[in-house]
Amino acid sequence: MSRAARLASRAVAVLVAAGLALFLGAGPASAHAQLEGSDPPDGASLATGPSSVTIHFSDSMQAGFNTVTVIGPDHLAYQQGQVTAANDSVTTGVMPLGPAGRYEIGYRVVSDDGHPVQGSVSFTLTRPGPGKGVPIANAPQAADAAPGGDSGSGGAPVWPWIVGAVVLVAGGVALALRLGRS
Amino acid sequence: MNRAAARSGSTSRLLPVLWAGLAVAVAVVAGVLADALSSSTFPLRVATEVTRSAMDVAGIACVGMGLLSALLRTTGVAERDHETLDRRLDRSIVVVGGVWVVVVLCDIAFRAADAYDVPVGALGGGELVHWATSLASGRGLVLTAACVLVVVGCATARLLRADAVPPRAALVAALLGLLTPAVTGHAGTASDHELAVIMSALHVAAASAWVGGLGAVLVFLGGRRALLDPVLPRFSRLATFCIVGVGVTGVLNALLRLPGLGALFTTGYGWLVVAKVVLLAVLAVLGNAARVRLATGRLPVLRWAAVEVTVMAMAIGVAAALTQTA
Repeated sequence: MSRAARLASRAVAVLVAAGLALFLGAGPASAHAQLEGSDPPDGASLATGPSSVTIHFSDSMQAGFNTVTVIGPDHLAYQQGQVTAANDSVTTGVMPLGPAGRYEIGYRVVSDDGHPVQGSVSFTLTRPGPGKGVPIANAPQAADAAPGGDSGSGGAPVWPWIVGAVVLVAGGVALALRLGRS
Repeated sequence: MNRAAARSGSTSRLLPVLWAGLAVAVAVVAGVLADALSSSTFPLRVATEVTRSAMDVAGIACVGMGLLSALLRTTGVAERDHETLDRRLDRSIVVVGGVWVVVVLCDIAFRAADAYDVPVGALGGGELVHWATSLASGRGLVLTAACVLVVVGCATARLLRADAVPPRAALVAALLGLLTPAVTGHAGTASDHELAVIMSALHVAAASAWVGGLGAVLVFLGGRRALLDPVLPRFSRLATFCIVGVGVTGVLNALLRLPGLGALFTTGYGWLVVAKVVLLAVLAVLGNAARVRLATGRLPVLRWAAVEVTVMAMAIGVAAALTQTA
């Protein structure tokens, strides 16, 4: 009886202590990189189109993984050149914009923790520009160092090598067990 | 007697597989429920949850077997028992270590494919190398693979010559292999960098020694009183330190990550933290019950311990989901 009571009281004590500790403090920071702002800012109204867009994050960005697209109200792509990553922001060039309306900046970025984060911000062009976008299908991927894609810089598929490595490990383990038996 | 022995043999072979499966399943379910990695495609989300939790399970198993191997070096264990058990442990470490290497390789491939947003089959060698060398988490996984190879190497050397390497070597390498993904993951990029890294390292070390050790004791010493009697009290003392360490570091870590107490119940990450606190409390109660029974000499402690490891497996699954969650 008393043992059960003691156990129960201990369980309650553990829960209360853990709960208290959790509730008493507050800390900064979250795990994944988060969007902290952009230039042009989300929801901005611009008379003339920007020559580049920059997106800021809560974490340092790694070059080589990031994709940024600028899609106009005419469903054409307006980004150009390569995406560059510097500290906690990624930047891409923008062509002269076309019709007035809502332009969507889509991003998919990878920070130091290796996890991709994607989302979008948008701005509104109030006066039509002289430019004309390119169809999304053959727009530049706007990924820096453009891995994969048509340039093929990624090289041959890597999965046969992984399968080979797995076979090698399995063989090694079997050999070790065989040798260890004697 | 024969039947009892046969039964305990088959259970002890089946149990670790069940625990591992449970941990992986919980990781996948918890990860999907908490909406971790919402920027990734669904198959890759599931695949990375599986590899991540399988890495943890294999690592914890290696730490546990290394720890048991070290704990066996105590008075009261007969030389012959000790030698045959050492061999069984080393053979198991070689096998589990091999699985661990394979899972780490798969994890690197899946996460690189995830980062580039391409199917795994289309992932190029250059991309894989770039992901594994330029990102902190990629370098961490490569380091883990190296540590695991050392673990397998140590166990193989001991199989060939029993006194080639002390059992501690494999234990330390396995611990390092488990720690690197934890300290190069989110904690490595958080704002309270040093504190978060130290807390994560201590948390993982204490949890793996506790869970792995208990699992190894159950599987390898289950039903062998001659070995249990000298080893279990030593392990029980260690486990008490571990449970306190896991609780303290886990709570501090959650405090560093969560923006406020409201986030506990409004974010997926917060819910996973709550789930882990509850599981830890259950474990503390079970562990204490086992210790009381042990002190009064009342067995079966082992049945309690099997339940305990099952709860632990669930906690590990939730933990693996946590590491992937924003």
